[in-house]
Amino acid sequence: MIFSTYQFIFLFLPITFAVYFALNHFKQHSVAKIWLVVCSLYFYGQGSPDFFPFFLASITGNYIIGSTMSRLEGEQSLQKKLLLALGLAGNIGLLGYYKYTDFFIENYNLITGSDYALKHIVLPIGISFFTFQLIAFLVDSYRGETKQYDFVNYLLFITFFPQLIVGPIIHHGEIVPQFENRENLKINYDNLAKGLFLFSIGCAKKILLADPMTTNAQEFFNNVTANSDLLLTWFSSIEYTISYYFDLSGYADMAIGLGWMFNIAIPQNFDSPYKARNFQDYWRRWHMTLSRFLSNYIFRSVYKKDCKWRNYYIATMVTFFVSGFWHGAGWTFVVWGLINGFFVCAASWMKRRNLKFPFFIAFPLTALGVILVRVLFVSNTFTDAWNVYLGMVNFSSLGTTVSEALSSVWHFIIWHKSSGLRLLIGIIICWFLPNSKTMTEKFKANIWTVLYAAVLMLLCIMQMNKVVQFLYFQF
Amino acid sequence: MKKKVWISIFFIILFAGIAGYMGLNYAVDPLGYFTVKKGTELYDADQYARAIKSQYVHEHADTIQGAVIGGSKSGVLSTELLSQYTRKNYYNFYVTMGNFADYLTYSTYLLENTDISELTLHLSSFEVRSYNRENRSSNYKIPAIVNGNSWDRFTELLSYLMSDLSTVAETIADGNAQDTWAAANELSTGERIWFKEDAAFEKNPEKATKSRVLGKLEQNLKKAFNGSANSFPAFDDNIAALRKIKALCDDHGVTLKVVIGASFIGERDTFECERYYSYLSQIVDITDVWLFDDFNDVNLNPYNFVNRNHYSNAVADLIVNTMYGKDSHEGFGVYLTSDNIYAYLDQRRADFQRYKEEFETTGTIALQGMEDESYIPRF
Repeated sequence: MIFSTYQFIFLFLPITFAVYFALNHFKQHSVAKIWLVVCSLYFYGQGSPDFFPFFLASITGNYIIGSTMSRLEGEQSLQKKLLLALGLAGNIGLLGYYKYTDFFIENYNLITGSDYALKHIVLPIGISFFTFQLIAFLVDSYRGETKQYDFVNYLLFITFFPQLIVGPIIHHGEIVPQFENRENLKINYDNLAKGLFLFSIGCAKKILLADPMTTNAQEFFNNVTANSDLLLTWFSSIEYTISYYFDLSGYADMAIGLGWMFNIAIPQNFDSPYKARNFQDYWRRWHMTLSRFLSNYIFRSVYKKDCKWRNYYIATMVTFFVSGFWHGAGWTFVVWGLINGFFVCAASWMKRRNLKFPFFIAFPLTALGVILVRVLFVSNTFTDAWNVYLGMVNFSSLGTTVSEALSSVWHFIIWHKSSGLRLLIGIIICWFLPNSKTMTEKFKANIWTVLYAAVLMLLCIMQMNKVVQFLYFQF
Repeated sequence: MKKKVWISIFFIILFAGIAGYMGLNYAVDPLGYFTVKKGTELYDADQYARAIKSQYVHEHADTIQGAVIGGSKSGVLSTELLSQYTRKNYYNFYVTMGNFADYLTYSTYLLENTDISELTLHLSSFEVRSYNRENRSSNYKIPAIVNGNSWDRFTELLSYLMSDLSTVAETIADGNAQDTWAAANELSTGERIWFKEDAAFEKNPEKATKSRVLGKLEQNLKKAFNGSANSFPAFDDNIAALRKIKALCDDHGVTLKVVIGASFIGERDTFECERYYSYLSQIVDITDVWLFDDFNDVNLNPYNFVNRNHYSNAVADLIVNTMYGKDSHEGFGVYLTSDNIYAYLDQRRADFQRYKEEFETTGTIALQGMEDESYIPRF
């Protein structure tokens, strides 16, 4: 089940919301929490029924290990280490089996010349996200940074449906206390209005902008050929870059909006990333909760001050290697991660030397870099990516004379007028308008905001018959 | 404004808008769902044909003994001719935007709900581009009549009351009422009738052919001979689906006939390449095939086509007549088996090379005209 469906909006959400707050109203707080867990599990089970028993076993197993570690004293560090290793191996093993089995078989076949059949295992929805949350829980339990959570609160932290399948990646420390806060158990009309407002914006980003752009661009990237047309290549690459942002940030807005409806503040995930001046800045604004996780649990594990082999650059490259591999089981993703890491290191190197491009160079240069690395991310193979890069400089596809080139451009504009207009609107939103966080912070209940939100929501509902799956479902 | 008031207004606008939109959908009926429910014999083929035909088959199951399954090209295969030659009452269950996911779905539906003893599966070559219609159409779901219960039918009704905004807007902009005749279906035979295209051709063949068939010819030929068709995302899924259809037919004791229809040379950029030849050989591994989509002179004559992607009724009749040995046109149609497929593919490669050289030398391909024998008269 995804947020932008009739099933979710007209059945799941109203029923879950009404029963949850009704139970709380009658002081059945524990039952209300259990209700929310059950609904969240149903939400998950709809999308990944085959994996559901393993999901239940995994979260229960992690709770047992985490709680046991929390109870152990400092002198029992060996037991703690063993438990941590067991928990990490279990989580990484499960993720590895579902996500990377075919990748390893392919590479093993390639190296050894063997011919083992691929398994084609269906990736359980959200496994990459909740695995990170579970790992964070285990590591913090090992570090003694968790308290003894009640099992229902722990279940809510993992399964709370707004964030369960595509993030934002939440931290137990910021979520569990909110579920324990009695003030959050009754309907808060301020939060509800804010939640509806943000949910409408997120839904519009997804349905009105991301879906049509993604469909367009993927048509191109799924059929990349040699001698790709220059204009189409650039158009599709920019279109995918923009649509990718709207898809992810749209989902995040909807998740955060849903969180507000239940009086739970879910952390922000995007902060106008395409306004970044360099790649370091970009990764501070893009998928912020993933960056936070990688920074806390990968970068900090590798980085050691004054250690030559564990310096900032090495730690950054390792972190981005993990990030690339997490994003997809393929070498294109790994290389994508490493290139991003390289650009972040370059930005950091420049900063340390007080080297700075002027804004009018830094801004377009970063945007260009983002588009070029996104090509690698979306391409099915290196050959496809290479063909796209060649297409970007395939000036012969415009014609042999200036008038032919102008005619090609003109025909391209005519042919792509509606998708071009959509893309232009998308670019304007990304570069010049306030992001949804700012809009929510400045939210005022007046006729304009209600008209804006209701009309956006209505337009989305009118388009909901052809919703495209969220891009991050594949990760 | 108080937050409670804000929330109330939000929902009032939302539900009023939804109610109005449902009314608009019912009136405009962009997918033909309500029009057909009201009862009609002719309807736009691009609308809700899958459900309408499924409903028809459901109601006439005991009268249907043979069926055509295929994409939009196969809509012109004459059920009258097929019935005459096979002595079975044929139904043309073609669907627009043909793809193997639909062929498998509706073959299964026909096999399980009728007593057909023969199934003619028509392939349009174009299926290699996409296994199903997801992301290509606003209405790709399998109709509730095919595989659903009463709850599914209810949700289907709701979904047609909430057809997406762009479809409604396009229908209003196109003027739905006038265009119903653009590519209508005859419900009782399932066949496609090219009212608009045939009328334009009869009035001015040159103009109709130039605008509908020959547009962007050189660009498409350039792509075809540059090998731009090499990416076939649906290759494996299609082959797997064909195997399933064949197995289902065998299980039900039904004869499966596979035919690959005629294809204008200007359409080759979508499939003509080595990978397609490999695809053909895999199809022939599963079952014998009547093939008409190669470099024969019928395919080099634009007057045999109503538009770039669809051949005329006359060509369709020639295909059926050829399959049943009642007529022939030299070089048009080859019956492929595992014995002759590789020799055939060698010949096709040589033809491709020959035309490629011609294109590289002259910048185009010499096409046939209406005065030529390769033109199959339409009227």
